[in-house]
Amino acid sequence: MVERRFCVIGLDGVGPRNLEVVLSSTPLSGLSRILARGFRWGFQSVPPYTPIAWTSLFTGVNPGVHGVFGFNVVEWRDGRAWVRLATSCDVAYPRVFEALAMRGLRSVVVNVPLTYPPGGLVGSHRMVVVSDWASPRVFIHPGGLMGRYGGSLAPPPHDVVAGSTSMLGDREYVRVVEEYLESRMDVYLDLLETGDYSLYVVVFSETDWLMHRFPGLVDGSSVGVAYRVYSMIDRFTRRALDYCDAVALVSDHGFRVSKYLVSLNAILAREGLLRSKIYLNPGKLRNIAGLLRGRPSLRRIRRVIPLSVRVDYSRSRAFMVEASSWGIYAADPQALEATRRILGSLEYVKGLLDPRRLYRGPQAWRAPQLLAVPRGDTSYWTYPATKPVTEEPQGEHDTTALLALYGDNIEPAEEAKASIHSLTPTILAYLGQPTPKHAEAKPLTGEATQPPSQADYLKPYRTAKKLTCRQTP
Amino acid sequence: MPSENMVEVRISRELYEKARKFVEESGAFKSVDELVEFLLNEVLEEESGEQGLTAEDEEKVKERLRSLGYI
Repeated sequence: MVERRFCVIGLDGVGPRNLEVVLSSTPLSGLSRILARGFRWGFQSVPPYTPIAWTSLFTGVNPGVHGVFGFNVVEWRDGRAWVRLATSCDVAYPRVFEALAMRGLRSVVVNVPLTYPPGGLVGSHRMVVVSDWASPRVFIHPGGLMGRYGGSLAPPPHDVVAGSTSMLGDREYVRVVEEYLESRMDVYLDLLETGDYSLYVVVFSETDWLMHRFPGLVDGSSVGVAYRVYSMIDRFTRRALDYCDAVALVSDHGFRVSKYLVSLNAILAREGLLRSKIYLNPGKLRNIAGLLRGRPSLRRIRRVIPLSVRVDYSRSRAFMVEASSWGIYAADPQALEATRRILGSLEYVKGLLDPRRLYRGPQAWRAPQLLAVPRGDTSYWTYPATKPVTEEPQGEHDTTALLALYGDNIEPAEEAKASIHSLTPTILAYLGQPTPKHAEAKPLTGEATQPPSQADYLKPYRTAKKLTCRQTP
Repeated sequence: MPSENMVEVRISRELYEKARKFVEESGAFKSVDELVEFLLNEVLEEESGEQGLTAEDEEKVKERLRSLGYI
């Protein structure tokens, strides 16, 4: 029999201010109840990037320990870079649902980054896992549940439409996102109401997708575009409040409006540090219909021309792989120094950070060699063959994220101060389990006089990972 | 789990002592029984993490990431 239940409702990209903007014009009683009657904190998410931040939130440790620096992994062989997609096998520290599995407790895990393949998760026999939007396949684990739920698990909206979603008109894009969430919501609710779990985690990515596309959702001028999505999330939240003893609302980062789009890769290419490759891509011709709808822009036109230009990582000496990670990889110290000099003089780069200040631990060697912090009105993108700077307003990730807690026996610990590492020890302590020995924060709730016990989840995790992944990250 | 659903498995005393020390030092498992059951489940899990990504998988996911402006 499950003693206590904890629900985590992840709102991707929804910082404290972003949620206030939505709540000021949209009645959402579930979300409002948590904020009004619970406890809330803002915390910094640096860099403000989905795969990094969610992994930090769900492990309680920094990327130098958990090893996730993006959706991709950069590997070096003989001084040349090779880039591949990250999988569940690349996560080097147990996430909270894996720690609970070791303790004999079950979890439901929905749309959490880097959960593919599910067999790469330690303790997956004690989990129900629903694929995240970046998974190459739609799945529900264990596979026996596909018969019951598979028909309701729509593929990510980015795959549904012919061509790119950026070619869709605004109204059509919103419709596609709404339909995606609507099709999956029955599965989420059924698992919430009938599942056997101590922890239920769901990340709603739809909020992030809409804020990228509609800066008006960020500055409050067109909140209505997200009404239906937020209503569905709120419906789930109200049910979670019925079924779980404690509910956490949490985001991985916030959103701001940016004015300038800057390609650091284009600048590095201009300086001879980055090489590109061109290849024929006839599939892009299907985007022509989309170009005739909506407003033209450099990015939309680029999506029609049947040639693709990509970064040739193995022949480049410095490059950015993922824009919101802020990370620049450099092949050698000379390339790094040249990159510092070039980017340090750019007005759109607020400052350069040594990653060793943020990433500390045995996986820090996988990190990029430099972090370029964008100016407050600037977004990065990685396309190498473009004007370095264009004026293109859009929603962009912001470093302020939200954590709110509400439920039975939830009282903040004395001098509780939230960080991105607080959620995992808080969940484990609430469920009466030892907190991770390496966690970089303490539980936010509970008695300061009776600190929870600690466990070294890493050692058995590494051992089990050799079985699940046939390797240790 | 009800006792009628459990069976006894024998291991060497030496291995048991190693496992007991492992359990005590890590604190991650409640008992040797739970450690053994957990690890056996990992070994016997039908779906493994060995499923690599095909080139088609990679391109599909990268296209999604591009459409969001992430890469």
